[in-house]
Amino acid sequence: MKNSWRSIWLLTAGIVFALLAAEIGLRQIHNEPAKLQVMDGLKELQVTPNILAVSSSHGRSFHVLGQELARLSDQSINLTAVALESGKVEAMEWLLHHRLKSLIQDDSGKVLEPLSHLMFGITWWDTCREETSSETTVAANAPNVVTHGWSITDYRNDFLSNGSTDLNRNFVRNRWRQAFSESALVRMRFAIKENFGRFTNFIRVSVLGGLPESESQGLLVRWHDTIDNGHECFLSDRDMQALDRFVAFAKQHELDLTIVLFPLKPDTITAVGLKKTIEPFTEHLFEYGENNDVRILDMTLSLLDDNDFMLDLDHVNPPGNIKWAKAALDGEMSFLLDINKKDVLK
Amino acid sequence: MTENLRQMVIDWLDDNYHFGDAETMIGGDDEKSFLESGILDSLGFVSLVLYLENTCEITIDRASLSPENFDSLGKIVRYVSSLTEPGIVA
Amino acid sequence: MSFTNVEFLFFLPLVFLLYWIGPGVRSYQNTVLLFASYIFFGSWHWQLLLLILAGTWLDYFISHQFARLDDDNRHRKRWLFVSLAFSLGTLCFFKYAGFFAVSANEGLRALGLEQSLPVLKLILPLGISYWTLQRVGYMLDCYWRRVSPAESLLDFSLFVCFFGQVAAGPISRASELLPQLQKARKLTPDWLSSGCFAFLLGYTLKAFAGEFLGENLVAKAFSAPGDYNSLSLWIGVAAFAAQVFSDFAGYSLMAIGTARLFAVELPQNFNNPFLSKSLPELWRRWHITLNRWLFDYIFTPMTTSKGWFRNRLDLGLFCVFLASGLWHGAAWTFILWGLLQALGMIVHRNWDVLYRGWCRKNRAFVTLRKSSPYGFVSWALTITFFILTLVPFRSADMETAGIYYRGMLNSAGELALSISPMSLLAIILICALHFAELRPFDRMVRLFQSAPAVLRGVVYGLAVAILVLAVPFSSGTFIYQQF
Repeated sequence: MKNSWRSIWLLTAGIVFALLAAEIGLRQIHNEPAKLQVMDGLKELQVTPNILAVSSSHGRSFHVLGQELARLSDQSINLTAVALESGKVEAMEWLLHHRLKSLIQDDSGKVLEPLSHLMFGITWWDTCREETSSETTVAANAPNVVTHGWSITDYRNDFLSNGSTDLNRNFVRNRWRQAFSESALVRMRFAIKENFGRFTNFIRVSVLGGLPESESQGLLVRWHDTIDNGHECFLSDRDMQALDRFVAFAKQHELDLTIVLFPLKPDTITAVGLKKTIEPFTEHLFEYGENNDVRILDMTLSLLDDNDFMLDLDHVNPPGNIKWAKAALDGEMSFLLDINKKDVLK
Repeated sequence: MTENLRQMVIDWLDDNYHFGDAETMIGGDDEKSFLESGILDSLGFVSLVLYLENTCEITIDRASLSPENFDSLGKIVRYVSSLTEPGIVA
Repeated sequence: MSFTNVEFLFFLPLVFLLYWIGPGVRSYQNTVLLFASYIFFGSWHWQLLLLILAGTWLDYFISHQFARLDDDNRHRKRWLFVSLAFSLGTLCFFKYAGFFAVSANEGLRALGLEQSLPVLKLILPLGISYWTLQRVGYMLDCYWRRVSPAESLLDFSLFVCFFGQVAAGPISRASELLPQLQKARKLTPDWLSSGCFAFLLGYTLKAFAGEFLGENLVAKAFSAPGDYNSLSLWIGVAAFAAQVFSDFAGYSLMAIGTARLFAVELPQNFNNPFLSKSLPELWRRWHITLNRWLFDYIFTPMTTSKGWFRNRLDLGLFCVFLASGLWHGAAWTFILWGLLQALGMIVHRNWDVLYRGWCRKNRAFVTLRKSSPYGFVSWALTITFFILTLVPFRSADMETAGIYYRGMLNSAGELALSISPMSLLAIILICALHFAELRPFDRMVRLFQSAPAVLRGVVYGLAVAILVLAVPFSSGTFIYQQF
């Protein structure tokens, strides 16, 4: 096959054309904005809010809570949500100390105005360690810290001492993904992964309108299994120690701390799961709150029902987020609407 | 002499591998690669080297023992004739 | 770093730009490639770069000693010994030290002795099995005067460590690669398009086909062979053959594609192996560069030597495949695999001798051998044998291999593997690649190649879009790098 430079240009034009067509086509059927990640939270923190909410990927619901809060308070109360994909208390605490702290305090270590409240959204899963890992660093235990939490300096230091590893590669991969975050193709790739698990499931849902009963049933069974056995791994030492550090940080900076036990999809919890995992976890946290003088809000099963969750049976869907934000601000979180008044009283 | 040598290799291929079809397989192109066209494989290649060494009373040194010298009829004939004095190959 | 790692997406375009925007002279081009290669290799474990540097300098020096000592065979032999001792010594040390210590300890325990040798846990230097063989081949070629030693240390260093092939081959002959590195290269449209095509095809095979087959079928069957029924185990091991092919042929194509982007041609490593009608043919089509190395430097020198080994072809085959088994890994499962291959090759050779005897007597046998039924039976036997011998190759240990074989004959469990749509697609892709060589499919390929460039571009673009959406997230592991 003999090629000329002209044919190479034409070939490239064909490739670009096809990719653009795919991009435009996909925008028609899938135009969800990119999911909020740690980086978005960090950007938002350039302006100090009244409330900082740190949590796992469920933190995206806190973003909606923030919008609702701003609306109800005529934009006078701001909440910034930092959502760390795949959670774990230790990882979220690492994030607070290594990335967030410097953004919310001045050089003398005093918290910037008007920040007064800290919220921490967790579920039992965030305290679960499936195996006793011999790794000592947080990153080795929680690669999501590398992916979403690391700065370029963290990466450089790790690269210089360990070379390119499967672990620090997560950082590069995420930067690469960020570079294409505007592309519908790339967003779709991740949306497929998160919502359908794999490409074929996505095709099946698109063509058949849903996963076959057996498949979605299979996922539900896996969730039952996970939660039923959650008590074997929850309340791990590493994560509870991290929680202590989190609480200590709030106290040291005189921040009002609320720990929110985030909603789970009711039908993923069996009677066994409720008795063995969910209830003991909640009880333990309430006890922890009492001992440490921290407000605990249990929303695990109180505000949402099965229809408010996504196909992954884990995350809250957009209407569910709004429902949760309204219900929470109407109920146990209504004190948030008064935080400015309290400041005045002080 | 080269004609004799050529015939000798063809005869050997016929006797051992292709039973009368060697000439057809080579198809008039004496530079056709033995390995690529399946006329000879690595095992056959070794057998051919041993045969040539024994019959022509030559020693093929390691330097020459590479496909560059043995991968086609033309190459074999050129290489072996460069080693043999006229008359030895009858 | 490996071709499927995300860093490579940054690395490759950067090196490409640096390489082509500079002066088009050999020294500049080779310097860029050498630095890039050291970064590529060093990103794995920079300390081990010292090993490759030491080997390069030593062999460069020794190869020039060969030339200098011209007729002094005694000293030349001594230098060759030094070179081989270093290369093969480090290879054995890194690859086999652990295995020998463990096996020796087992042996000692069997004899009732309690002493044990320390078992070292070593990091295997990236691609050591590949670049060691390439360098050993070069040294033997120099020693036998097939090639003259490289004049420039720069060229030679690049020959040893070119990032296109350092991690997993293809293993080049000095006569193929060195001359290309010894002159300036020029970018042509053909290099660019054939390079990109090979890279893309390789990536598709590796990241898409290999991953799905591995995850959907192979991993399941081999993790608990006792739980599956016979049919599933047959499917599992056949899928493994397809997976290793996709994984390794894919990686090789990516290597070839990468090299082409720098106007360097590496040798072909796979040539539709599943079309083979005999074991020797299979080994000419599967991991071509390794097998050709084994035949060039072990089989041929041995069987054409003046000594006792002369003409002992079966013994030669035995040695070649034992070496191949050992090369693949320090484990009894690999040795068993090598011995099975040797057995297959020896049986085939003796059958061939016998059959050719019949051919001499009766031409009907010649006609029979060329008939389609004979071809079909040969193909089926060859592929079945190859697939069966992969059981120990994939099994974690000999015990698992035993369970697997027994399960293939007699269902041990109830579970059945179901082939997912993606795996089916992967199998179709592999078949299509093989059929592309056969009529009438070769015509379709040519038709596509002669289609207008824009149209071909659209097809490639859509292929890229589908890959972006469908390539599984776990892709990036590579079976053959560990060898």
